[in-house]
This record gives sequence, C-alpha cells and structure tokens, in this order.
Amino acid sequence: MPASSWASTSSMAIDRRRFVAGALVALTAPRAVLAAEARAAGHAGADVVYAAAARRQGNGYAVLLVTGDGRILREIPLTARAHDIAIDRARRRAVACARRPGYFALAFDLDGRARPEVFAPPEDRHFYGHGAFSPDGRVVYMTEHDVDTGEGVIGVYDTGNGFRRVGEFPSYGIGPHEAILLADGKTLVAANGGFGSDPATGRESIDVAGMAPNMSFIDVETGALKAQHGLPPEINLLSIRHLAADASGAVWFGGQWQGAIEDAPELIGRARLDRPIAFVEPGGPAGDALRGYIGSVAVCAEGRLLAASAPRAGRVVYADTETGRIVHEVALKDACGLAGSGPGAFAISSGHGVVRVEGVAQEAGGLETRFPSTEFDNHLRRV
Amino acid sequence: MVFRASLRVNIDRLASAAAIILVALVVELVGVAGANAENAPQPKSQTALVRDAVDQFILPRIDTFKTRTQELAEAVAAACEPGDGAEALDAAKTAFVETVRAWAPLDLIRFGPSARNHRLERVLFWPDPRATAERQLNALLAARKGELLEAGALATQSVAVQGLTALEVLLFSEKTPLGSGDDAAARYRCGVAGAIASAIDTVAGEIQDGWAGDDGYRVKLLNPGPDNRLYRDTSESAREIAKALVTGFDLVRDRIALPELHAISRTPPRRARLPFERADATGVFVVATVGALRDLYEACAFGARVGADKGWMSGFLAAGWNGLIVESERLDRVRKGEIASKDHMHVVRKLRFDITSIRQILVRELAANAGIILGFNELDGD
Repeated sequence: MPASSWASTSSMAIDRRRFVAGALVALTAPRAVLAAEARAAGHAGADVVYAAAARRQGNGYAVLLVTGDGRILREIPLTARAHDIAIDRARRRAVACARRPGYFALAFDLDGRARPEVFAPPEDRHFYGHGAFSPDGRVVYMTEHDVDTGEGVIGVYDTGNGFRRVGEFPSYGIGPHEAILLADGKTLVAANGGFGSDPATGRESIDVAGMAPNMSFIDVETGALKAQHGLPPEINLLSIRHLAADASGAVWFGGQWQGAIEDAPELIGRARLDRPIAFVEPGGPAGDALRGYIGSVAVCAEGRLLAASAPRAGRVVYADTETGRIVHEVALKDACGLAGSGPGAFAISSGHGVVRVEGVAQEAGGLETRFPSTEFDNHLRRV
Repeated sequence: MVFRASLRVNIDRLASAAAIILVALVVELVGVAGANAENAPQPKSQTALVRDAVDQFILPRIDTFKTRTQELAEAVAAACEPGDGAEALDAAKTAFVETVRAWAPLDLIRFGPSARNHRLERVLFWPDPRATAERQLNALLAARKGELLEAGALATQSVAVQGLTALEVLLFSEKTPLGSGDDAAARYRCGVAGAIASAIDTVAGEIQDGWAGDDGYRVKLLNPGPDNRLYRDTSESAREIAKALVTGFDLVRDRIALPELHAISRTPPRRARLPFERADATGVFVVATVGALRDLYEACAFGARVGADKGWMSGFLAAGWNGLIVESERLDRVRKGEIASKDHMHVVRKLRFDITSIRQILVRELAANAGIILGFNELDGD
C-alpha cells in the first residue's frame, strides 16, 4: 500500500549518520572495478579528470569522476546530496562533504585502491559543505556549525585513523562555508558566511539581518586568529562563501547577497593576511547583473586569472587578479562548478549536465560535453 | 547493518517510487475527474502568468495584509486603554491571528519590496532556534528606555524585536496579560506592544508602496526588457514567480514538516517548536501557507502544463493537492493529541511526501513545459 511506502521515510530521520554509512558501503563495493577501467583509459595521462558531486537520473546523488571529453570514470552513489570535494593531492584521496546542514563526509581513494570511508560530525555539530586537507594529508579540516551556540567551528579529522575527530578550533564567525589552506600550509582562511542554519529547520538561514560575514586567517597549529577582515555595515548582507588563492597569495572570494537584487553590491573581492577586503574594479557585470549570487570561484593553473560563476544569471566572469578587472565573461545556463584546467583555462560544470573546458583567451567556445541524466552540483575539482 | 541500511531509501527516490506506486491507484480513483476536459485549466503565456500572479495573487494579499496590520495596531492600542481589558485583549489576540493568516501567503514572496530593508524578518523573525526574539525583548523591557516608544524608534533596534514573533510573546503572555496592572512595567509593556504593532503596520505600508506607482515593482516585473536591470525578458520574470512558488514548498518543508518529523521520530519523541505556537496559530499559519501555494499555482495555471504523454500526472497532482490541504488542516489537531501517535506520524509523513512530490513535478515538468527551466544550482545552490 502507498501508506506504508511513505511511512518508511521516518527511519531516515532517526539516524542519518548510520543510514548514510551503511548504504554507501553496500552500494560502492562493486564500483572498485571502475577504478581499474579509469587507469586503463589513461586516467592519469592526457585527459584531465575532475571530481564533482551530482544528482543522477533525477533522484539519486553521487560523486563522479569525469573527464572533460565526456567520460564518467567512476561513480560513487550517495543517499544524500554532497557539496564540495576536498582533494588530498599528495596521497590521491578525496573527501566529499555533505551539503549544509551536513551529517556525513565520504572519504575515498581517487584510484579506487581502498574502500570508501564515511565519517560524521559529533551530535552537536553539522558540516557546512567544505573541507581542506593539510599539505601532508594527515588531517582534514572541516567547516562546522556548533548547533548549541550557533558559532562556527573548524573540526580536525585524523585521516590515518578512520577520520576520527581529533580537535577543533573556532572559525571566528558564524556560518563558515569554504575554508582553504594557504601555500604556507599553516594558515587556514575561513569564509564565515555570516548566518547559521539549524538541524530543526534545515536550510533556512538564521538571523540574516544580524549577519557579520568575514574572512578569518587562522593558524592551524595553535587555532589562533592571525587576521580577520569584515565588510562595512551597509553591505553586511553579502555572505562571503567561496574562496580561492591566486599566485600572489591574495585570497579571492565570491559572495552571495541576501537582500533584494536591486541593492546587490559587487560580489567578488580579495584580501590578504595584512590587507583588508577590496572589491573587483567597477566596469564588469555588477552585482545585480549577476543576480546577487556567486556559486564558486577558482584560479587557473598559473594563478593569474580568477573565474567566478553566477548560476542565477547563467554567466561566468573572469578577473585578472593583478589588475582586479573583469576581463572576460561567458554565458552558460546554471553554470556553477569551476576548476582551473590549465594555464589561463578553466572547466565549468552546470546543473544541466554540461562540462565546458575553455581557455579565457580562446576565440572559439572550447570543448563542451553534456553528460546525460546528470546535474552537476555546486563545485568541480581537478583531480 | 548493511541490510537494514539498504531498506532505508533516500527520501527523494522514495517520493518517486511511491509516486509510481500511487499512480495506479490515483488514476483509478481521481484520474477521471482530473482529466475532465471541461474543467481543465488552460495554459497561460509567460506574460499572462506573471501578470496574473501579480494582480490576482500578490497585490490583493498585500492589501489584505495592510488592512490586518492596521487593525492589529488599533486593537493592541485598545487593549492597553483602561476599561474592559479582557475583551479588548481578546480582540487584539484575534487581530494578531488574522495578521498571521494574512502574512502566510506573502512569506513566500521573497523578492521585490519584501526583500529590502530586512522587511521579511521585521514582520516574522523565524527560524529562531535560540529564542532570540524573546531574549532581546526581555532585555528591552528590563532596560525600559522611553525613547524606544517614539514613532519609528523601534526600527533602529534588532529585527528580532520588531515583528510578530516578539509581539506574540507580549500578547499571549499568561503570566502578565497585556493591559493588566498600572505600574510602570505594565505601561512600558503596553508601549512596546503598541510600538511593535505600529512597526509591523509601517512595514506593510512600505511593501504596499514598493509595488505601486510607475517606478514600483509591479511595473518592473511586468515590463521586462533590455533597459530593465532586474528582468531582461519575460522568461526572467516568469522564473521569479515560479521560484517563489518553489520557495513556498521549501518553507513548508523546512519550517513545518522536517522539524516536526525529526522531533517526533526521536526516542523518546520530542515536541518540535513551530511558528506561532504561543498564539495557538500554528495551524492557521500552515493552512494559510498551503492554501496560498495552491492559489499561486492556480493563478499560474501550472496544472495545464501536464505533458500530453503524462495524463496520469493530472490525477496524481489533484490527489497530492487534496492531501496537502487535508494534512495541513489535520496537523494542528494531531499535534495536540498523543505525541508520535499513529495519526500524528501519518499526517506529518504524508505532508512531507506531498510537498516533495508536487515540488518535484512542478520543477521538472510543469514549469519546464511552460518554458521555465529552473537549474539545479540556480534553484538550490549554496
């Protein structure tokens, strides 16, 4: 009877952590064979491989390893939606982070040499969707929310010990979203978006009017705050959410405006440890033209160009990080995921299953492939 | 463990699977009525869809809300006058509940004038998991600053103390009924209640004004074009309306269905904290929200966008909407009965099921067939 079908849904609410872990192990075991196919297909060779979370076949969720020419090398089904994928280049591992409010993270070997592992935040925490490995791959830092206090936290997980949680330090703000480790390997920059969410009310934003977003530069060895850069009160509704460091060490962000579109300020800017936030130079598409929303940011291989996606406007803009000017833009519906794919080149993924690889200086449109029955989620990472 | 886990199907998958299971029954039960050609709605162009959503749904409800907030401000003032306190207080409580009923349809219109100057939160501060509104209100009452009672002064304070969430605390206090007592504390409580009611009425007026006139939001939304910074073509206006409807579904899911389901599924089951419980107006809010979703859906004639090869969908949607209305009306009653009873669980699960199902069909079929393609990231990114 239909009644019993929907009645079984409550079991998911009872213990999301256990549910996700069990199902993943069950579903992913046969997938190890795909890794072998990937290697046979020249995975580590000329074809650049990307990782992304996605919705598949209209309902199921997955982590995908894909190539820019349209091949799916590996698929790890998930029972819930993931957001970003943190990459440990040294040890060729990755962690797919559940999206806000998230209760699981999936660690997997990029070459399929080990079974995926699932770890979860403590009972009084939820994940925000992003994480960053230490340079030696020994720990992964996860952005988290302290449900009781509403404060942001960086959870530290030991990758060599079953991803056991071994510590935490403050993110120095509310709603830490993306956090990246700088080239020194010791400074973590957290984008404190400014508002929290609560397990009881899902993805609803709490106290948007009281937002005080900031970029916090944190010493990962001591957990101490080295520097913090906020926004003027008149644009406190600009949630600082996604980060990328350029070749000079400046940290760029893409913001999401929580007010009316017509009031949206510039959405893209940068700061340094010793320098406050400065926005891109005027003249490019303004905040309202980008519909107040940047979905992700990425820097190209040599670090000069920054790409920022605006899925609500169906656009991607490119900024010269040295001049701070928008130098180019392209249109792609629901474009959101971005990854540097080479010098001056980026891969863009969209919610309509498209991956486009293009050089910014390129006259033609680059290589565009559509993956059937696939909606790429927020982020794309080069593997 | 693996076996147990595999039984627990993803909720979205479940919605689809159950939808398929339901189809056979539904088509048999209501499919014939749903497919009745004479009663079938006619599809609307995107231009007509936007115009009707604005003129038939949004603007009349803003006018009603403004009327209710004015009545509320007057009723709160009357409750604080010397005289028959109990009767006047009851009238103010009724006016509060009617304001909640009038606000529910507008809570899903999160663009335009409502999105400016924190107006949404200045009317309804929610979610409020740490009871910020009550905490800040108590601090404000304790400080007893006379200047905060002057016209417009409350607007400089935290949004948490400006709206319905804070006013509910004052109006529905059993310990210190509004208007009782004549000491300084009681008078100040009345002053704050009056200031909050006036502030809500002011916001209602600002929203109303924001839509009106040649440079108002109605004109912007209905006149897309290359010179319009907000809407470059009709499809962008139509997307705004469709997204508002989807937002409404998400609000019912995130504010009502999920918190309730999570709370009563725990061992032992717990009470979820839903909006307007103190005023006993949770049911009013939920019923009005669901009713508004259907009204907006009908104003857009999305029901006429079922694909020719998917006739079963009309019956499924009819059953889904019917279920949604019934569950929203039953929710209040089952929440007041035995917690996590069979009925309680059934109503909440079914509410979530119907929300998920209709939202999914709306985004992937009906809006898409109306030429409104809502992207995965655009609609629900992070």
